[in-house]
Order: sequence, then structure tokens, then C-alpha cells
Amino acid sequence: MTEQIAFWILSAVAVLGALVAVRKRNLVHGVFALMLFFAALSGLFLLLLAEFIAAVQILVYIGAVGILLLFAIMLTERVTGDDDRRITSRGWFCGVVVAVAVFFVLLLPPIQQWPAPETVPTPEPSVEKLGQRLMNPYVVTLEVLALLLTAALIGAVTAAQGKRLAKGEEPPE
Amino acid sequence: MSLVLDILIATVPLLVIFPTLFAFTTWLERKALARIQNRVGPDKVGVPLTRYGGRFSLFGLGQPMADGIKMLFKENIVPRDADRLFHLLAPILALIPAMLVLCFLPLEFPWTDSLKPVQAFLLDGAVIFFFAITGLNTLAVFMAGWASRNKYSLLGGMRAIAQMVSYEIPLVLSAVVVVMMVGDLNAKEIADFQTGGKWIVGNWFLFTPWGLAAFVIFFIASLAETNRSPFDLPEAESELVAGYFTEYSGFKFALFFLGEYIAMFAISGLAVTLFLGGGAGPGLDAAPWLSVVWFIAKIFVLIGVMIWLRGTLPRLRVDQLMGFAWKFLLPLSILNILVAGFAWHATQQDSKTITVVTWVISLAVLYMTAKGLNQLNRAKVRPRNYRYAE
Amino acid sequence: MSNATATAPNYELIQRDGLDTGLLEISMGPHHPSTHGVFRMDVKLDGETVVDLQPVFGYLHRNHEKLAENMSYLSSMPFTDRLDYFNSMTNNWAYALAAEQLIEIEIPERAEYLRVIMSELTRLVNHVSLVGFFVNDLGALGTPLLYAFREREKILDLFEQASGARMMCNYFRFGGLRNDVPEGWLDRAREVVDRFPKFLDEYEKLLCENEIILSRTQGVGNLSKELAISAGITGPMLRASGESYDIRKVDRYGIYDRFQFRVPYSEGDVGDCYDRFMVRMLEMRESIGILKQALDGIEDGPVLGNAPKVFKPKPAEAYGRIEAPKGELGFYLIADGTPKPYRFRVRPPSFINLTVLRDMCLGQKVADAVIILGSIDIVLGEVDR
Repeated sequence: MTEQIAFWILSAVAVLGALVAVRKRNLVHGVFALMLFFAALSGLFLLLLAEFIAAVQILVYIGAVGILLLFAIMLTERVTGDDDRRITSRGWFCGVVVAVAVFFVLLLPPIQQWPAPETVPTPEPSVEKLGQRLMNPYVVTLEVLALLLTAALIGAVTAAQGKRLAKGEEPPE
Repeated sequence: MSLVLDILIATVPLLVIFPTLFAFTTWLERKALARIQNRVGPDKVGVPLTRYGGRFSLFGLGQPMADGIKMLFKENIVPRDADRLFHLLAPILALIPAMLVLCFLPLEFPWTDSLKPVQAFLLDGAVIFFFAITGLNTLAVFMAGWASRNKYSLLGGMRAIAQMVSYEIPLVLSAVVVVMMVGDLNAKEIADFQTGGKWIVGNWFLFTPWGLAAFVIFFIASLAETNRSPFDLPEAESELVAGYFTEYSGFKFALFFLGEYIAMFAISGLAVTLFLGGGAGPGLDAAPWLSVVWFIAKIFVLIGVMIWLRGTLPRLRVDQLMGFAWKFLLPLSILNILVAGFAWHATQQDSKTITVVTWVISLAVLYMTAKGLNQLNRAKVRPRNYRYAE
Repeated sequence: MSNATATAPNYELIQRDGLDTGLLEISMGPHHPSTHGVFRMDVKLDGETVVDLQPVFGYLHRNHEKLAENMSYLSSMPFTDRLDYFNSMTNNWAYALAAEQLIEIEIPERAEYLRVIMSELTRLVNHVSLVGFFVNDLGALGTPLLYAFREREKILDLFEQASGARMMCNYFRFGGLRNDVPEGWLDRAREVVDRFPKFLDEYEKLLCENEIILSRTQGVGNLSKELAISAGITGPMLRASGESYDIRKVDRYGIYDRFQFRVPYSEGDVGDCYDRFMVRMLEMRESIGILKQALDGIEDGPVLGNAPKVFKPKPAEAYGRIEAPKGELGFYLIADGTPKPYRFRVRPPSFINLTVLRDMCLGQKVADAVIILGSIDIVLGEVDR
């Protein structure tokens, strides 16, 4: 019962946050709404007893992605953040089609298993098992991913640094 | 309904004890700073808030109460161009994560023994959750800075983001060492791991080379996380007036203040859990409830050091602050993880000589690295000589 | 002004290099914790870096010069207290020196000694507070400042015993001093002076080799010797840039030729905040030396020659200048035969030292702008007059 109430509240917050994030013209408001969405999502993970994923959701999506977005806004827009430009969206119809399609693809597994079996075997989620899995069968994958991310990081630094201008050299237009 | 009741029993004491401690800490800080600065500090307000408090003043212990009442009744001023919603939300957002992470501290109140199901739900990944949620504090600071429509606030907010994001990395990496050694993310397990041992302190991570290095890094980074001097750049008084809360008054300001101190408690509590043996202390066999007292006493030792530093050190500059995080703390904490990894394998052998050798080697490696990094990063400064004209 | 561009990095280049982030314009002051009064800096920031800085002052303008032209010479003596309200004694002296040139007057020996004692005590007060405020601007939350104020308090007590006022002393008169110091004052002064080095030792130990202070002040706010000289900078700020110019040595006004003392100045040509800080620390030790000699040499006698309260000097010009704690403080008087000066002009060291603020701040961080301002040592009462 308590979980049901929590689920509906969190879902409502998540949907609301996502909608506001898309619709708000003020970018900073949008980013914070997005973070609200992330937080609600983390709460939903928590309801599913996936506490590690929930923590990582907050750590990565709010702590890193959200702050990165804020940095980007501060660097590119006027820092006060108010901008009344309206994003003209052409081809919204295609967007809606794609969104609906993605939605149904995501729902595909439960649809295939319709009607649902009476009892679902509940996995026992624990951080320890997750860690062992990551270290034992998936260790190569993990390391490759880490390498990839490092390469991306270095690439980003190189790209951001740009070409260093020697003294007196004219910057490229 | 018993679940709701259990939750209340588990959380309400936290919501009562720590704000009370906050009130006491503000008094302590003012008093301690005053003594450091050759002053007396608050000494007039008595306990029953009388005008004649001087007679029953009890060293001005009533001051926090008077401050609180003053804050409550002050006018709430919002700048005309401010973003009213965010201006309101920011102090709340500053307080909630700080309060929330208190749940992850392994405080063993006698009345929570029967509530294992409530605690067990979250405790498994407590350390990760702790870092995830303390990170939200950054957002509150930025929100306050941005919503106030004040350039000092904005600069303070931007400084806060840069600083907190940078120092979170060494903070987490230094905690990783302890997690590796214990092999568990559960705060309770980590604290229990350190109980026992010689003279109570024998198993504390503070008294291992890698633990000591990690503790120092953790403590420095936590100073930066909680905006304490010498890392109080987001609220640098002499530069940015009051930084991100320049435009806050009345109770909103009090909430920021409260949030800041609760965050201090929380992060000191984590340091106590990770490095100082949690609630370990003498007399636990006779009275298990003493562990809470020991825990809070250790928190206050750390807070005392923070106050002491505040009265002593000047502030760093932005570039020096970032350089310190990225060029000194980060490499050192990464190396510390390596050292701890080797040490873990070496101490598995259960041989005294190997353990001693490991200790000596790791101590030497960490010390040399710290020295070397210091030499590399040291700004080219030195005391100078001056000439005299007759 | 070619030096100005040499000290500041070439901004055009930096800006084109990275993202164009736009400039943030901040009006620091007139209400700001670190502008030392009602002073305003219009700062343009690129991130945290100062790209442009425009000092704005005049908020405390009180018509000092014009007021003085409408009253007798002696009447404006109390007003000079209010110029640099930290150093009323030296302000008095500079004005007295200027007026004494207009009326030939003999100054008694004891008055000369007391003048030196008072002005060196003032120098201690000024430097000790400046160092305290400076470290406060660095973010040290008042601890060094309050230690400094503890020492300042002792000297202010001496001033109060001698003149009746702690800050607005109004103690000097043309031809001497208003009154003699009370009995036992010299002993108390000697006690304060004897204890002062102990405090300086403590202060130097705590501050001068502090890693944070070193790295925050060295290489910040450089002022080259050429720029300092061409901008007319005087006082400790000029000496920090490597020029050993001290009016006590150049003019030897009063009886400064009788004392042994040295003028500390910077070895190099850097002239950064650390130099300005250290030169003041070292100057305090020399002042203590002068004070000891003066307290030993002083003898009994009258303190005021027979100067008339109202006088009509012959038409003439006079310029009296002294080495005030902040630099060259000068009073320029034109007498036209009436009891009032025809022209009364102050050369305030704070104001002239402030003119190089922009050159020193460009390219530094905003936090540095605050400590550079602090290291100039301004008092707005004197800047705005």
C-alpha cells in the first residue's frame, strides 16, 4: 500500500519534471526540472530495491550531467540565464511518431509476455553481487569502457583547448 | 501503520538532536573564535532569555535561542528581479540533503534496535548514497546564487559549483580506501570493522599509513565541500560580500546556516565512521548507548578543528584552490588507493614482518609522493630580503 | 604608460583564444566590506579575471580645502585631523610645518621631540592596522586584525592621555604643541614602545612566512619602479617598488637629523603586495628605534612658542611636507595678508597612490583586486577630502 502511494507520487513527479524540462523556455529552470525528473527516477529505482542504481542515478545524472549542463549554460548563454527565444519546432509530427515508437519498443518485453505470469521470481539485489559480477565475468568490458571514457576525456580536453596561438598570430576567422 | 511509526522513531530523533547540536555549535564557534581573537564572545544572553541574563548568563548559552528568534521575526526580503520560486527553494534544497544523509550514519540509538527493517533498507550502499546526496548541496548553492539576481551571488554560486565538484573527487577517492579494506559499503560494517583492537584505537583506519593519508585528504576535501575556511570562497566575505546568500535574510538565511552546519555534522560523521572507528570507545560493554555519545564527541573534535582553522588561516584564491584539488589531492588519493591495494594483499599473509615492512614502505611512498607533489606544485614563493638605506 | 601594458597580460589574445563568455560588470562598493570606506570599483570581469577597473570616489567629499580658505589658519587645524583619521598627529604636523614657514617662529626643543614621538607612534598605529586589515582582506576572519587592534589600543590610550582624544587629537599648534604631556606619560610610552617588538616578533612569525599569505601576495599587484615614480607614488608603496625615498631622510624636517634610523626598501623591482606588506612590517621596527632614541633624548621645557592665535602673514607661498605613514603628505598655502589663507591645498598620499590601482589590478583575479586595494593603504577621508 505504502509502496503504491510512493510509486504514484514519484511517477507523477517524474512525468511533471520531464514535461517542464522540455517546455520551459528558461534554460536554468529546465535543467532543474530535469534534475527533479532524475531524482524521481532514482526514487523509483529505490522502490524496486535497486539501491545501487538509485545512488548512481543521483551521483551521475544529477551530480555530473546536471552540473555539466549548468556549466554549459553559464558558458554559452548570458549568465543570468534568461532567454526568451522560442525554439521553433518544425516536423513535430515526426517527433511524436518516433517518441511513440520508442515507447512501444521499450514496452515490448512485457507485451510479449502478456498475460503476465502469476509470480515473478524476485531477484535479490545486492551491491555485493553487482560488484562481483562486474569484477568477474564483465571485468574486460568494464576496463574497456573505462579506457573509452578516458580517451573521450582526453579528446574533450584536446578539442576544448583548440589551437594555441603564437604571439602575434592572427586567430582563424 | 507500524511502518510509518517505525520510520518516525528512526528519523525524528535525528531531526531533534542535530538541530539542537547546531544551536550549541554556533555558540561554540562564536565563543572559540572569540577566544582565538582575544575577545570574550557572546556572554550576555542568559538561559531564560531575561534582560537580566547577565546574572544567570551561563556563558551566553542562550545566545543561539535569541539568534533563532531574531531570525524568525526578521523581514524576508526578496529582490525585485529575483526568481521568486528558486529563491524560496534554494535554502530548502540546501537543508534537505544535509538532513537526509544523517540517516546513513551508523548512530546506534538504543530505541532503534527494534527497527532493523527500516535501517536495513538503505544501509547496504550507505557510503555511495552519502556521496550522492551530499552532492546535491552544490545545486542549492548554485540555485541561490542564480536566483538572487545579484552578481556577487552569481559569482559565489559559480565558484561553489566549480569548487564542490572538484573536491568531491578526492573526497570519494579517499573513502574508497576504507571501502576496499573493509570490503563493504555498509556504514555499520565499516564502523564495526574498526571496533576492538589494542587500546580501543588499534583497528582505526586513522592509525594506518593509507588511512592517515586518506583521512587528511578527506578532511581537507570536506572543508571545501562544506565551504569552511580556508576554502570559503563561495561566501568570501572580503570579496563577494556574502557570496551566494548575499540576498537572503530572515529565516531563509537561517535555513542556509542550519543546512551548512548540518552538512558539517554529516561529513564529520562520515569521517568518524570511516576513519575514527565510529562509535568505538571505552565503556561500551557496560553501556552500549555510550556509542552514540562517543560518536558525537568525535564529530565535535573534528568540528573543533574546523573552527580552529577558521580562526587561523587566510583564504586561498580560486586558481590555487582548484590547483590544490586537481594537482595535489587527486594524484595523492589515486596513489593512496594503489598503496592500499598492495597493502591489503600484503597483510593477508598474516605474517608480522610482512605487515611491518608494508607499513614502512607505504608510509615512505605516501610521504615521498606528498613531498614531491608539494615541490612540483609549490608556487614560486619564498620570504624575501630587504635592503636598508641609511 | 607603456609600463602599464607591460604589467597586464595582453587581453585581446586571451579572449580570442577560448570561448567568448562575455564580461561580467560588477560595481564593488560603495557598500562593500573591503573597500575601506565609501569607495567604489567598477570592475569588469572575464570569469574571475579583472579586465577593466574604474575607481570611483568622491562619496566622502567634505569641501575641506574650501572650508579652510574661509577661516583663520589655526581654525582649520582640527579639520586636518579628519583627513586621514587614522593618523591625525601627522596630519597636524604637516599643516603646522606649512604654516610655520609663513610666520617665522621658534619651536621649543621639547615640542620637537614630542612631535617626533607622536608621529612615530602614529606610524606604528597606521602600519599595524594596515597589516591587520590587509590580512583580513586575505580572508583571515579578523584574527590578525584584532591582535593588531590590541596594540593600537595601547597607543591610542597614550594619545588620549596626551591630547584628550583618541583619534581626532588636534594636538599640534603653530610653534609647538597645544599642551605638555601629563606626568608619567613618557614612562608609559616607553613601556608601550618596549613591549612592541615582542608583538612584532609574534606577528612576523605568524604571518610573514605563512604559505597561503606568501602565495596570495607574491607576484600580485606588481608595480614597477618606473611607473611608481612617474605616477608620483610615495611612502611605503614607493619603497616597496625599490626606491629608497623617505622625506624624513630627504628633508630632515623637525629634528629627524638627530636620530639614527634606516629606511627599508625592496631589493628587486617587483613591488607586489608582499613587498608592500613587508616594507611596512620592517618600518615599524625602525620607528621603534626612533622612538627609543627620542624618549631617551627628551628634556623638560616649554612646548609652545609664543605664536599668536590669529595672525596675518605677509603675502607668500609655503609648502610643508612630511613623511606621513601613507606617503608624502603636503600642505600648500598661499597667504595674501589676511588672516585666512588665499589658497589651501592638500597633497594627500592616499589619493595619489590610488591612481595606479587600475594598472596593478588588470589581469589579476577579483580576489586580488581586493587585496591590492588593501595594500595601497587608503583612507577615504583623505582621498575625497
